[in-house]
Amino acid sequence: MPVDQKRINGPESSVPYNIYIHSEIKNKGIQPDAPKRHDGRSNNELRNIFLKTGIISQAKGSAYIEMGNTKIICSVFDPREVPNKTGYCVQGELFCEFKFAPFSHHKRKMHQQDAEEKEYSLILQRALEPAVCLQEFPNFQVDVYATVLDNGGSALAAAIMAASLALANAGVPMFGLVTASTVGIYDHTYLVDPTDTEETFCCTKSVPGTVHNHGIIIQAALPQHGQISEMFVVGSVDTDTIVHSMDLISEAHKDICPLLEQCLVKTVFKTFRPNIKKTDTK
Amino acid sequence: MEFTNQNKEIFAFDWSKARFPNVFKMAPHIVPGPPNTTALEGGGERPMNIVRRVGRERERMLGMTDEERAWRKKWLDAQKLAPEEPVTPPGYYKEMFNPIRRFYKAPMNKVQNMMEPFLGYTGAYVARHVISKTAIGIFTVYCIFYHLKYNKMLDLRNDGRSRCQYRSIEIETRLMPHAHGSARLRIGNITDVLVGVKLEIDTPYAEKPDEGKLDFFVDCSANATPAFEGKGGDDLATEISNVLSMAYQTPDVFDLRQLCIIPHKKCWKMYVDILILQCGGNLFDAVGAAVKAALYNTEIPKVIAATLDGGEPDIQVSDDPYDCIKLDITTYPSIVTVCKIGDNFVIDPTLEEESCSAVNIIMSVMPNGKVTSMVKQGYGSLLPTTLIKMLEVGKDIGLKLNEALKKTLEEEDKLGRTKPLCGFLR
Amino acid sequence: MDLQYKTIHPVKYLQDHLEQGIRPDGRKFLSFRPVSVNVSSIVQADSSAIFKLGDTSAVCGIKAELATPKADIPDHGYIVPNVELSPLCSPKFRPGPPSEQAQVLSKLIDIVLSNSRALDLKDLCICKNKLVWVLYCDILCLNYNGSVIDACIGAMIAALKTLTLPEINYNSETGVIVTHPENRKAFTVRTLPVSASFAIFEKQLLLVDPSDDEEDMSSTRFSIVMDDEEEICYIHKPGGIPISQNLLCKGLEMTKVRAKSIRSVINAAISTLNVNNIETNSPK
Repeated sequence: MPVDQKRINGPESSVPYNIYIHSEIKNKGIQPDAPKRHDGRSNNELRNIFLKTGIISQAKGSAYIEMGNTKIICSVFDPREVPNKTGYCVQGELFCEFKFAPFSHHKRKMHQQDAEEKEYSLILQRALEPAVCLQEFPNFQVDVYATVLDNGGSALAAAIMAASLALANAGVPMFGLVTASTVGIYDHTYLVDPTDTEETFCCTKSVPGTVHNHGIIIQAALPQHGQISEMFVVGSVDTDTIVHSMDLISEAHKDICPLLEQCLVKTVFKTFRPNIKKTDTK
Repeated sequence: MEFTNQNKEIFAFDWSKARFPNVFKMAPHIVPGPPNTTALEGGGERPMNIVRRVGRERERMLGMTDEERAWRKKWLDAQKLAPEEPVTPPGYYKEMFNPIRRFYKAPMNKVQNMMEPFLGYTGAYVARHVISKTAIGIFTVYCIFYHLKYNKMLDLRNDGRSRCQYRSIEIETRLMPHAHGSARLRIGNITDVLVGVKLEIDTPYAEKPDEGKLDFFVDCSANATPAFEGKGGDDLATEISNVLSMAYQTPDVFDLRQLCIIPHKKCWKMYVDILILQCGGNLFDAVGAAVKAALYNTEIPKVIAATLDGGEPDIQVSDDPYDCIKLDITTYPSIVTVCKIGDNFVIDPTLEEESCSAVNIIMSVMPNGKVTSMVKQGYGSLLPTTLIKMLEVGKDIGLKLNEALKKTLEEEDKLGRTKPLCGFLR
Repeated sequence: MDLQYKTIHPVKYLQDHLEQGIRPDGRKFLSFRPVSVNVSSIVQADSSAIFKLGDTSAVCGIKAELATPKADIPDHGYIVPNVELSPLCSPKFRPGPPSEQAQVLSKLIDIVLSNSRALDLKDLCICKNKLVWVLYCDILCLNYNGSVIDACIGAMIAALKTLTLPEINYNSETGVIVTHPENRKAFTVRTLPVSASFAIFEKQLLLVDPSDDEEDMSSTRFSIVMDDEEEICYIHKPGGIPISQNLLCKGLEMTKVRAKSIRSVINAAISTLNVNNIETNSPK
């Protein structure tokens, strides 16, 4: 691998210490049949969500989301001309960049975007595009940057929500808010809003020779219009399972959407209150 | 209620004389008066039959008397219309037709009135009906014709296929002797994809010591479309390789442990290189099928001796090129793109069809009907019910594609190594 | 009205304010922005800190990994500080390889660490010649509103100060490594280097802790890094007009005061963490 001249480089190869943890401690993980999950939730329960907008003063719009341990910060900037573009384009574009901070994952992430992050960037873009009135800024692109500070599972879904809040905060014309949620599937267990350990569990663990369902489904939707803006399945699941988890997810969307709305209402109040005070003093 | 009043008049007409011919010889004092019209108004039966005696067959055999003939003549005369007849009582038209009918009849009434001086009443009446009915008929025929012609319900596409039909797929394997496995796939003589599989010995990842590595590289060559020049194809290439790696990610599909040689020390690293030679729509399906075909004929050299020599691994690979392990493709998925155009779903879209669709779904289906990955593409959004329908369509098509691919590959395999290479320039 | 004026005449806007003896954000010339520190909020990192300087904020996360040491210094571990000025934090930056500014900052922090002798790399040695710790300190700027150097150094020091490393048993004969994640030992930081930034305008006007707009329009700026003993670790003055000795002396004096207050904030943040740890651990 070529040496990155623009950064301070450590040793050529290093290994995380977690892999040397004794295997007995490692595997105490997850029982799919247990009545409660390892963090005390029931299978259909979402984690608490904390939302805040306007967290980055330098950006046009920004949002911060916390779902359990997952922490994501997202910012949106003014439209700029699409670079390297010849000819006129009727629709504007969204440019999304999704990045895990190097320390956000249990395995250290490199500074350059890897294949997973590139894929997630594309998913983020496709999840948001149906919600943004792209015809309002022809030939221009809006930049959306999402950075995962701490990955506690369901990072992509949280990033989609943060990005939609940031877009709304930036005043980009939109058809509606985008919500997203994740379901982890293991056999007949559906884990809504899985944590990172549950995610890896659902993704990799499978008894060879059996036909267990396992996988992860992420769905982004515009709940105000009842439309699905992005669907992402990975694993090995049959169509009935997908249909069932879509029902679960749409339930979750109904719970999440008011939270985002409330957060935006609060932002509006916050932007107007200081003005009111100022006029009072005048 | 003028109508019933008129009836009354008819009944009253010449009542005492006409009603009772001498056949009955009835005394005048028992002649019944005019019938009780109150019963009639309630829809009751007529008080008597106008056919009278002749209604009965036996009576008819008696023949008519002169009196009766006179009576009949009188009646026939009465049937003749006077020049001022028929008299349409005022309000009759309004009573007979409801406002809607009156509205749509109005233009043709006018036409009829205009024609009447030339054609007479009957002529105008017939002409009016023939003209209007023909017009309606022609209009209906046109509607049906245009509906069938411009509505996708015909299930016919520009190139003559139906919605769920693939273009012809040509596949050729083992055409690169230097690769461990290779395949070339063409869809409809336009989309052209070349896949080569290479194996190398590598050290496994520290966190997965007993697993090999599988990597997909996609190269969108600039001669496929001018849009791929420079970095233009990079996004598409990432997209394709990501879809592939997601489709093969689960251990149900591809167990990376079969690529392990010595845990912690050595494993096979499999490079699947995909070269896109020409792009005519539906790249994902083409690449998916081509990769599956290339993996089908991939031959992993047999490791005959793997020992740890003082901590350092020592590996000997069999010299015999025929001594090799083949991969089991019965679990490998094929990729299906379901393209939504208008209200319909289309399989194997051409470039034009791709450019008119706002949403398409790319899914990989295993031969046992399970979905290993699914991604939505395009800037549009979907209703949940539509998505489920697309999912079902994609699954069915995927199963069929898997089946067909398996059959073809087995047939080609039977030809053995002596099969002539067709190559590229045919 | 205020906003339009600012966007149309940014220079005049600032000058008007300065003539009135006040800065656009309402501060006096020599007043610093409030500091807040939050430590160990990121679960996945071995230690982390978020340092906020008014609007400017930086987050530092440390990931510890194992590696073999360099042959010439077999008992030294590695510390790899990298500053990321991602496009997220300001419209000035574009996605891609790190900008020159980010490279300068990374290098600066590397030099500050070695100059101040805040950590002894020998502490990171597990087995000489075989196994040492690598500390990847990644500093991510979240909001770029001036004096980023101060925020980055503050975040990194706070993160290092809270860093704990698990116990590692290394069998030098068989090469088997076993980690005991529950026995974590704190990592000693010998001194806390703290930085303060200044901007200078024409007529040798000194502004402390400049915001982004002030930095852009200043004639020159400089940053001073000081350690616990009030010794200077590093002075950074990237170009611009020459400055008088008086100003530098004034800057040094102010840095002394500032460093003390920042250190107390960091220590306070860490002590709350310790209290929390004791509270959560005691019922078990």
